[in-house]
Amino acid sequence: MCSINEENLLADTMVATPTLPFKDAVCRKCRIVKAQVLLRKTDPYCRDCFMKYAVHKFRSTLGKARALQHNEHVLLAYSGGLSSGSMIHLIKQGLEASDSNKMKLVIKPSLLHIDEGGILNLPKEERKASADFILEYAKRNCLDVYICSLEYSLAADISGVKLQKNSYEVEPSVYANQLEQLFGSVKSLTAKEDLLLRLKQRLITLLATHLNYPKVFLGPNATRLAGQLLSAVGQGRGAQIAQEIGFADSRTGVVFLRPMREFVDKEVAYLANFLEVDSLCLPTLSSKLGPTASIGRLTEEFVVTLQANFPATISTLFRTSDKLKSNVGVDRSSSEFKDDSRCLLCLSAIEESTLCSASTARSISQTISRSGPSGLNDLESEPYSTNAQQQSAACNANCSNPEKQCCKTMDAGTMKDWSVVLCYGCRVTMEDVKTPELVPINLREELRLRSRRQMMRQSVEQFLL
Amino acid sequence: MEVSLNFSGGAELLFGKIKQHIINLPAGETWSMKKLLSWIKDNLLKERPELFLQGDTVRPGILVLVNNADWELVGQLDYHLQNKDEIVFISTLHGG
Repeated sequence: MCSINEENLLADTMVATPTLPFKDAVCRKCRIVKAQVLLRKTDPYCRDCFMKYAVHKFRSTLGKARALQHNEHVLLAYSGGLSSGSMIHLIKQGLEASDSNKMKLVIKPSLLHIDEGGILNLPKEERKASADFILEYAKRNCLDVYICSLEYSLAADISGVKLQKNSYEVEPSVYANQLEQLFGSVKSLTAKEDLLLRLKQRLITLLATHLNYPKVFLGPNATRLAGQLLSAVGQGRGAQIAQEIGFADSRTGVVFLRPMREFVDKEVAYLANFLEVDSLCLPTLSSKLGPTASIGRLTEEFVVTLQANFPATISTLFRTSDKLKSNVGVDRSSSEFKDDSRCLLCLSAIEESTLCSASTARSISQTISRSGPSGLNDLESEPYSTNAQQQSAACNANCSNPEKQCCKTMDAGTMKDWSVVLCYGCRVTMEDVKTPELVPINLREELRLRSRRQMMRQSVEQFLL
Repeated sequence: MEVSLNFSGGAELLFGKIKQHIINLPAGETWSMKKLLSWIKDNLLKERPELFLQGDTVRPGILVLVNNADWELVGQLDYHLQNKDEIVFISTLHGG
């Protein structure tokens, strides 16, 4: 019989890392110079040893993943914050490395910045000032920079996007109003933050493809990713963790890489201080709000507070998350992964909804809890495809009868069945959006197409060998 | 006693978006970091004190550097300020 006593267990496992007095400590590596940096609550380092450690970690993260090819064009996503700023400085250092032992980093980087001022209601002068700061910063570092306003993420394709190299004017386009309307119609802050992330991803992909940059470096550090990890699980995106939090994200045609992934926020802050990284202070959607404003804020608060006393928190989270991978490959090139089973918004695999799947179980539970056992009877007696779907499937898109509005109208019933076009996480987000037609994902068209294909597949299934 | 305070990483949003503040503390008293923090709360902090301070100390996620060294290496809250000291508050919770 197991002899673990509950009270003893609690006392043993809750021992916080002891705060030993570190006054005037000496660097634990070189043991000569006085320490300036304290990592993980117990490891003092001097400035030079810390910088060597950080640069080595950065280069090994890039090298281990074998992510870069020689002379490759890379876009550096720069938000103006400390994390992406340090990333750019480290890359510049790598480009100029004259150390004969180390391999010189040979890539062709350019900066990309997305102006989110539209949804934050920033005055024009402030947006201009931020843009000027970034242009100046790029010039100082001899890098090309592209600044694009977030509203162009609503454009259907690249022809609608206004983009110039090394210059930027704050000129609201036709999409600016649409963007404001879209974000105004979203009820919760959690959904707003998620939508913002997807739109930014879409815009970066659009720009990177147009400018011919196969890889994009993103700046989030380990602390931010740990918070995002927990909030992804909380929002039903558990299956996508490997792509959302991992080093490489290849859901779109462009590969997103996260080289700052191994740096905890404290290390980034030291790096930024020692490298004299100038930061731009831009507010975000959740600035100056309390911890219950959104799921993201809550998980961030949780992780940061826990990490303060238990420095192993973030590495434990990452170790666990690295083991969680979806069994469906999401590479664009993977042949087993058809376009039909991709979510329109986040481009991940849509989860299965067969008779035994988790999503079916969830929707049954939801039906029962909302309308009692009688609701379950209604669910079962309803044919798999509703009448409206069958009607629209019967005629094709070239139906020229102006009176019969068969495929043109979709009644509210079928709109709710978004499971063929959106993954669970995106469905939850889109439910909060009152004007889904403003999101540039061709929702109606794709819904119709995919529902029809699904029905066709079902009717032919029994005849396939 | 003259002390320079620097805020970066997003912390400046709570201090009127000004990154550097050079302040003069009344001499004749010993100023510990704890005393300085409550002075900042009363005199500089424009809004939302709970986003910068938590009880006696700073909120987790805010890094404090005293003359370019981690404040935990110089005694944290018990460190006594000297003239011309440079204190940097970096918020790690903002931007990426």
